Amino acid sequence: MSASATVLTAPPTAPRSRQNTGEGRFALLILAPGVVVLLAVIVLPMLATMRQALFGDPGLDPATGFVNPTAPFVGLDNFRRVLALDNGRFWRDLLNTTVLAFATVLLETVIGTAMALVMNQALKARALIRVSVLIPWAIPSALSGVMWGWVLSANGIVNSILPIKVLWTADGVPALFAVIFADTWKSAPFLALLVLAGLQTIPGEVYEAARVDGAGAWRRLISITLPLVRPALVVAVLFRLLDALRMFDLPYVLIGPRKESVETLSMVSQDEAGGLHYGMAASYAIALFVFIFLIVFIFVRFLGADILGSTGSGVSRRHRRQEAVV
Amino acid sequence: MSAALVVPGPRPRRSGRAGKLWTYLGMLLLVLFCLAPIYWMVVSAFRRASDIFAISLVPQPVSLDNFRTVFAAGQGFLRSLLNSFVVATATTVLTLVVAVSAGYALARLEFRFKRAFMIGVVSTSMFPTVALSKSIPPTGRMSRNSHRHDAPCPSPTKMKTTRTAASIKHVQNPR
Repeated sequence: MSASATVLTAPPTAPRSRQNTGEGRFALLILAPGVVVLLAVIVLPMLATMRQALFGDPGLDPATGFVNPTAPFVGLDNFRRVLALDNGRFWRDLLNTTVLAFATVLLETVIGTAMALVMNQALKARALIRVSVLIPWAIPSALSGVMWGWVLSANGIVNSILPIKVLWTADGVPALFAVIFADTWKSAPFLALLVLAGLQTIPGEVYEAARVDGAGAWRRLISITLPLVRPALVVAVLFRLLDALRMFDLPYVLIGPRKESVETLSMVSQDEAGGLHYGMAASYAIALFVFIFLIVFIFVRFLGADILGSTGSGVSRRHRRQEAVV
Repeated sequence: MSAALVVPGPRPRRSGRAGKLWTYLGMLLLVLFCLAPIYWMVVSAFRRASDIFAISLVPQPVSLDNFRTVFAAGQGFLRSLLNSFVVATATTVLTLVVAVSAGYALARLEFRFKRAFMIGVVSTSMFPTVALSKSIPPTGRMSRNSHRHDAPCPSPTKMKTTRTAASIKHVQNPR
């Protein structure tokens, strides 16, 4: 590098612009595999879904009376049908998706943070605690759906402990509770581990100083732990929200498809695709995508969730820091 | 996530007997919350089919019937396990290679469009997973071209090469 002569006098990061072009090329090289994979498995299917949303079902053409073997182009007709006010299924499932996602994430945040605080304090049996926290998260959702279906079945252990019998996995409000509880059980550990990582970056001196100043345990939790762990917590919550809004397999396995109280937008999309209505399936999927995007946007804007990490270009970094202060 | 598992880091210590008691109580609750359903699954696996609804905490008598059924030759569970293993290994290796190199670039290097790239990566995880595999090519198109319109698509959980150990419904209803 031609700048090597000046390195002795200038700080090593001085020739910024020239270094950037070299770094840029190297970055491009090692980013390429990731880009290729993302293009192949996500971006292309996404584009194909968006294209599919513009096509209707093949079949009898009402204009000509002939059977049309190829899918006809219908423009935005599918979206109009999805978003129609009398399409009760969409609005009901939008509500279901929102209620399920926010209820589970709220519960998970409370329980996950409590778990992280306990894990942070635990000096003994740390291995046991870590393994037991990891197990719910490591089990596939489909399998935990089967397991909770068993625990919550009509003659299951929960019903034999409770004074009343509840049909948890049929439909209605109990099914909603069953899904919320099973998902909380499964995902609270994920939040706990992310929050624990945040907790462990808090230096012990801060607590010592607070103790010297006479702050009690509760005061230390409210005034030190929670504010300092907030950035990690907000990001963890956001990522959970991303997943929870796309929830599919847990209600599908635990309760079943086409159940009014727990059908999510992912499930209705899959159901339409199963009925070979690919255009409608794609439209539902895109509607959900837009909904999730809006929620994430609101989250990042108003809660200052730093989902991109602390790296980034200078301007945006400064911008985000202001957001974090606000 | 895994960083939380390996990095011990400085931990604040709570002093006093009461604090310790609360910690132990929390640990107990945490382990119960996480493992109680698992315990019930394990216990139920060792019950006979006839006393599957028993609520004793320890199966009486302990039976291996269920395991014999699952691993019976006609069940194909070993093949499902193999599929799970192959899929898990392949995706882990691919993900590691791709994510470690990309992660290094994003964390340590400065380049143009970095923020745009990261926003793109995050927004890929906002797209419903069901729409990436079902309603669109290749799987959607393939099943549409190779079958008549009114013929049901072959269920992946029933096919030998795509059935994984988590395709529990198949295990429940083999046929």
